[in-house]
Amino acid sequence: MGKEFQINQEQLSQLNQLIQNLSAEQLVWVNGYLSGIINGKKNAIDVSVISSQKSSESITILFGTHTGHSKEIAMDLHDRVLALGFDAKIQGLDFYTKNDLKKEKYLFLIVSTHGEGEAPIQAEDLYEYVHGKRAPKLPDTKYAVLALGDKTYKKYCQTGIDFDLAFTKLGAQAILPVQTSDVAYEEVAEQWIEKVTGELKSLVPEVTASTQSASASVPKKKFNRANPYYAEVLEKVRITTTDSEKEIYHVEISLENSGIEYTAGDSIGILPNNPIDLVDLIIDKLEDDPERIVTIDEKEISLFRALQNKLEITVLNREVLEKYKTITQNKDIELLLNNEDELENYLHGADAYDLLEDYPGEITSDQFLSTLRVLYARLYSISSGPRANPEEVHITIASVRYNRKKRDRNGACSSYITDEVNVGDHLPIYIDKNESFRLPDDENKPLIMVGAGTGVAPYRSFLQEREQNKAKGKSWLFFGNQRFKKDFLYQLEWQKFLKKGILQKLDVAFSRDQEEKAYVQHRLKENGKEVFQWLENGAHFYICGDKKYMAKDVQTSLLEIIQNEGGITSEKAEEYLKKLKKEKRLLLDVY
Amino acid sequence: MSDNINWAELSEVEKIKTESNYLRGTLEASLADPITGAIALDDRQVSKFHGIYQQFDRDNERERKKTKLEPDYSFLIRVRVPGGVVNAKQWLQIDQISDKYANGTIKLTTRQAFQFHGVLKGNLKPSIQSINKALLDTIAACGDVNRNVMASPHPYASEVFDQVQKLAGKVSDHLTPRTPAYYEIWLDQKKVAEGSAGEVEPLYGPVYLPRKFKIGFTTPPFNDTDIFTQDLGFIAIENNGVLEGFNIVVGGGMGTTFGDAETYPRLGNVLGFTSVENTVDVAEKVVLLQKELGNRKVRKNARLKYTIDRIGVDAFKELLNEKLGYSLEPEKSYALVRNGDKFGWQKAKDGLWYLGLFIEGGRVKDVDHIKIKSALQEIAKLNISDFRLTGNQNLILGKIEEENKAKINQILKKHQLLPQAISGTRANSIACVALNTCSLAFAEAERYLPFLIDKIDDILQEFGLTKDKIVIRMTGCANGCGRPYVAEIGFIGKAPGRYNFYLGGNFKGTRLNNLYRENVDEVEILNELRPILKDYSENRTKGEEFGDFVIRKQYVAEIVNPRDFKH
Repeated sequence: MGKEFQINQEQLSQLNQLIQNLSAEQLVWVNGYLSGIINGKKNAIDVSVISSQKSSESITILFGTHTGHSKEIAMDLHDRVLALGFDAKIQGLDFYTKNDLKKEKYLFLIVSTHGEGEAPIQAEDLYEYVHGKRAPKLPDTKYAVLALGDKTYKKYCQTGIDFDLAFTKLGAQAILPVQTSDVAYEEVAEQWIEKVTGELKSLVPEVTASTQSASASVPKKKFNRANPYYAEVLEKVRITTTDSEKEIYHVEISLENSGIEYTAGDSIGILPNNPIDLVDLIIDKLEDDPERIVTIDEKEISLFRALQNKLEITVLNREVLEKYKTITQNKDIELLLNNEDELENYLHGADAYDLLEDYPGEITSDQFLSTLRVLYARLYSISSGPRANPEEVHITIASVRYNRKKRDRNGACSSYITDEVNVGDHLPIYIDKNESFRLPDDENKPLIMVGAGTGVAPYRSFLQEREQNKAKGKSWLFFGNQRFKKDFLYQLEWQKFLKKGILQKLDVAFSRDQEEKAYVQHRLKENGKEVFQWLENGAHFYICGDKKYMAKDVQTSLLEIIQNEGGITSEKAEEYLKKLKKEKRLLLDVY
Repeated sequence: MSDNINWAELSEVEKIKTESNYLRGTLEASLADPITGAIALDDRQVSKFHGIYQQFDRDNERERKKTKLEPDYSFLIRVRVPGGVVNAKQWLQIDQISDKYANGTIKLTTRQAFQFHGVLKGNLKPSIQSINKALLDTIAACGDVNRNVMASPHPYASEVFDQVQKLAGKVSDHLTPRTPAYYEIWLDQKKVAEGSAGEVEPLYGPVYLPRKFKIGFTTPPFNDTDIFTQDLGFIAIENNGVLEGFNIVVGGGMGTTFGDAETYPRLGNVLGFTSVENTVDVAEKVVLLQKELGNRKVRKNARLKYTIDRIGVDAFKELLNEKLGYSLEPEKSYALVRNGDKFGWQKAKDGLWYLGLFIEGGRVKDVDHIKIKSALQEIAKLNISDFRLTGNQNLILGKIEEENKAKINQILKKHQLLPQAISGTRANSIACVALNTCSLAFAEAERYLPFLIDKIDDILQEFGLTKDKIVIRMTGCANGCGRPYVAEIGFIGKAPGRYNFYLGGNFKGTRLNNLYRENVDEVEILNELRPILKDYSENRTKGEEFGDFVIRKQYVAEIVNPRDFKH
């Protein structure tokens, strides 16, 4: 509502004083009495209230500032627009959701230029966005730009000028030509605001017709492991510092025109290429020719291609070892297969080359290929919300690298993506539905989300989705990793979610920042009382990440919390936990 | 405070101060917040009063943003050292704190304070506790209060030196904020029951001063505290070895804002003379006047220099006399010679020895084979000297007995710190911290000036000027921490690699310089400077200093009215 319709604190307390002694019947009477007064007072009030609500989403004032001047001007303009009876949104560019850009009807941007023609850091993201290939068409947007600058620099007001040009190129219509201003900006700004408000008065109709474009329904194609979609990589950025022991990447993938849809909680399957150096090692060991044609799945391809992207070579399993034993008749491998502990130990980290090296025997190249499994897809929890990122999917990938027997080993998919895939390349992908890891249907339900390392990925998706849905339910995130400074994944995004009230609480455990290791389960226990309260209030509890340790420890801690805070026996606590699972309120995505 | 304050009219910081409940703010919550290495926005103002500035590494700012990580936040802690003198044990403690909690270096500031950089949020509390254990503190090292009181640490020419130092300490103590917040937050002292405004901060009250306040003492002939750049300066007047009192200087100040003509550097005016007994009283009353009269609406015009220009010097003097209840006496004659430091061994009138050491950019650290920090640590361990911070970011080892000189020489030679073979220009250089930690900086200063001077040294050598002392100062922004506006050659950062280039301050620090070239890069600086230095080497009169020469030869005009200053 416009400012003049809001009642102030004093008026509110007077009103409360007035009504607190009234009975229900009296209140009903007062209600009628007030309606009568309102109808009598011309219908101007009603109309303008409605019209301001109507246009409430369509005027947006954005500022990108280094010193704060742009913000001041933006706030001025905002006040003046409100005073006209419009409603308008004002936001710093660093808090602006890029995808909202195409929805803007009236957009006013005040932006400064930093140094020699550089955008202020606050404005960088949007600057790149409107200049990049993902920039949306803006046929329905009318806009004006005020560019602040300093004439002593060569590229005076460049950032604002660039934005103006970019908007025009994207099809937006300039209400005013871009206005530049030197350090003494006040007068120019004032005149600009005058012009903008003048234009607005004549441009914005009393009631804006809703222009819902009926989106043509795209026929859904079925993509799966056997028939993956080759999706373009839009962005790949490391989200741990270069000196972090953890090498984790955020990857954004285009789904444009694929018809692929997903739901928060789903995973993505990626068909990787095996590391080339491992392929070479195996071919050398087999003393074979990489170009020799072999038959895999009834298709003829080169040996090299077969090992690179048709067969599983970075990991082994019992079945492979069995087949290998049958062909080679190696006695040692028989011993290994009969010793469960040693077998498990061996399978954890040994690859196809190790098998040839450690258990030599008579085996031809083709025989060896026949022991290997078909290369399977790697699944990654999706870290983007589908509504916040239409036609895009984001994932969060940790590189798997280790050294075994003096040889560096790389995980098939993570090293493929981190070492070989670049922006613009195409990845074979498909969506792997995960119905067991979903946001509650009731958007008022609170969420407790526990994730360590890349296990935090789906929660980014959840929160983006909840933001889009304007969900009312509270959320609480427990995140753990090694070091605050180096691998606090998506730190800036969680901070924004907190500031916007999408996320209510965030507790973090960085295991290596202090002498005694601290993990997410410790933070859970420290907050046991409140965690239990949230559960009692219907919270859904999510665990994502490492299955072997983290998920187990978190569930043990949860059980203790239920027992202690609920004041019940361990058996009862077990039942409580089971009930949570049955009600689909304890949900796991672990690996 | 009463409710009828129109906050919209006042500068934002005024509200923050008022609501901070005597500088508590929400600092404790900010320190406990594990989600960010930063403190809350308002606390960044409040923390300054505790001697703490939030900063971040500007070198990796963009990289971290791409990595979706917040900036690499850390904090600067400034340690007050009124008069700049600490003992050997305190030096060792400061040295240890720098290694344990900061980035392993100690910055000696232009106001004779210690600065630690790169202190993480979690290390703030232990750092401040350790500083207090060393019988030093950080309260009021920054913020809208009286800052570290400067006093010349050069005892060479005067017998009243110690007396002036003690008075500086007394003024400092008298003007230190009294809020218990500092002790509660950092030293875990129990909260005391809240008293009335008058009880908590009898002098400052709940909103403190409109802006920072700087006081300095100097003992002629030295002007190494740049007395005319202080809000309030005391020039010691000595008569046959007896301290008679001080000439009072008010209204100096350096800070300006690019593009804002209402801001300018200003040199103080001598108002008159006061006796030793009244020194603290005069200091208090000047502070009170500024508290009452200073501009609380526009922060950029809040310093005492603008207050005085607004009401006039004479009117200010009258108000001061009225507040004092007696009149200042007429000023007494004095002579200042230089605003730089003397280096090398000097014997003072107390019969003890003093060794002036040039510390480039005031940064005490070990670099390659030149291990200043290790050498000073070794000397401190011997406990045969005190340590004196000068207003020019240098260090004096003081009060050394004749027989201990050799030990110190030996250590310094071992670390290649003696003899210090540097040009007269380098020896008279100052650089503020600037990039990569100062959030105000537009350009490099401390990290760059040494390399610029390398190139200027080549020109000096060519024209036989290596031994001539020329005061050269560089700051990364227009706020003036390195007092660039009184330098003979001044550089003020405008953008990475670009500076406004000033000429014409004098060697005594009694004249503002003037803009010579705007927004120039290194090549342009050297090209511009070269012919002037050549001219100076050929056409100066006997004993004519560089700053005077450029005025005489009209390279720049002398700034008489500070409002004419261009930036």
